[in-house]
Amino acid sequence: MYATAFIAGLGSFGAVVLLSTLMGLSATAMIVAGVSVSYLLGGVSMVLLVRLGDKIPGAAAWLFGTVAYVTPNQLVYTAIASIASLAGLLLVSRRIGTLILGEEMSRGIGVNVTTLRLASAALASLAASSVVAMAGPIGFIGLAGPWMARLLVGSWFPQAYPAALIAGAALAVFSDVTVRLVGGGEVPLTAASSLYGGIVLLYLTLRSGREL
Amino acid sequence: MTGCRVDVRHLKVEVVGKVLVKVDELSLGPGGLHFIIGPNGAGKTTLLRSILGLTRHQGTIRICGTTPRSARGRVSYIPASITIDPWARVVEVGKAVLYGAEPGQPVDVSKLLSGVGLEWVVSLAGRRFGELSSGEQRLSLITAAIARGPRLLVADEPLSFLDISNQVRVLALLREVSKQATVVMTTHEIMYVGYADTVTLLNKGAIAYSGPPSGLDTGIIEEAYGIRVSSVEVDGVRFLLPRSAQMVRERFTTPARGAHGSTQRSS
Repeated sequence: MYATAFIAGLGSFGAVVLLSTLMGLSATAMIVAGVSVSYLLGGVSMVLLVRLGDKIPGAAAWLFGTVAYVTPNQLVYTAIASIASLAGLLLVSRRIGTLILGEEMSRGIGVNVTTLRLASAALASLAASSVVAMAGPIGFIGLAGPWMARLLVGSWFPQAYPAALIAGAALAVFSDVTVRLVGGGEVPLTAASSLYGGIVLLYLTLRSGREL
Repeated sequence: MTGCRVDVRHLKVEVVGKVLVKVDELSLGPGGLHFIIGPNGAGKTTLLRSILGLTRHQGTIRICGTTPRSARGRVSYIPASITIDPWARVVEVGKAVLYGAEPGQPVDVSKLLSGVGLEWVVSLAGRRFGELSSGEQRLSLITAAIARGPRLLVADEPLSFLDISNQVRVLALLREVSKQATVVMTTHEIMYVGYADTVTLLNKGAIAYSGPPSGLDTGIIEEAYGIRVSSVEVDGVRFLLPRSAQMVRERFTTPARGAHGSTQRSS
């Protein structure tokens, strides 16, 4: 199941790349393609889920996002894939940093924006697929972590990126501890991560909204 | 260190069968401040982007004797329309602009800025880009582009959004930079042609004039822009002024007729 989820994750990334290439490979094209593919596959997984019959509770736990059923083997695979992709992103972090200038300026100072966008999205998908294959989709961390980092240390990617890794990991561990202490039994970790992520993100956004 | 020489040969840029720019020969630099002027849609931005290797084109472009692609570490570029992340702080934008810069002669930006009375621009460093005025955004990008230490500085409309005081200060700043780097800029502010070392006038994608501003005949300007132009010399510098008074007066200083006319059209 782990391998299937992992391969399917990369497969859907391939579909997104293919679609966005047809649309011209802009940032907007990638987002639109990503959302479309996500809805499409959401429908597929709903059908698959309903067909599971009495196995639904176990699948639902994975769909909600939980680390309760992770085996040591899965942890090793996930660690290898994630570390490889995160290290790859670190290598191109200064290049990614130039993207705040917009595509035109970034290209003008020597960054191949199209290749960079594809490579970084591929690396990010590798990490995301390996983690989701292990723990399911854990809510809000992918959104809250980077924004927390950005609001705390700024938008320069070589600094914001490591900060985002730490913020995301801290949020995940903190959420897991919370559901174990408060929820009792195996409440999905998403329950707490959505709550914390939402609160932290709202607080930081409101604070910097005043600043702006 | 001197600026890079820009050589354009047999350049042709075509988009869906329409020729945007056709330039047989153009050489700029090394060093100096070079204006590219021309009416809207004349191909100024397309020519700049071709020099930078950002367009699909026929012909050859050489910067510092090499291709635009391999010269990018020695080039700074300020586009006309700015699409910078509004959340990024100016200091972060500065860091991003330094990416890939080839180590050259260090540039003392503060000294250059204070030389023209723009030292306050440095104090924008901590602000978010989105909260700056359009003029402040332009000034901070010009500063970042200079700090990159380029041998060729390409600026598309660097004077846009600037008040007349800042326009003159930026021109003085770019003249100073042009002692160490070739500066190529487009502008609609044709009154300042006298500040440039060379002026290239584009009309409908072709060069109508290229040479020193002193040789620029008002007739060529009038033909390109379709408006009468006067040449005035002030303190030994040549300024071009649009002779628009008559046209504007006819349209707007007879309110009764104008107002009447517009009511008739709308009813």
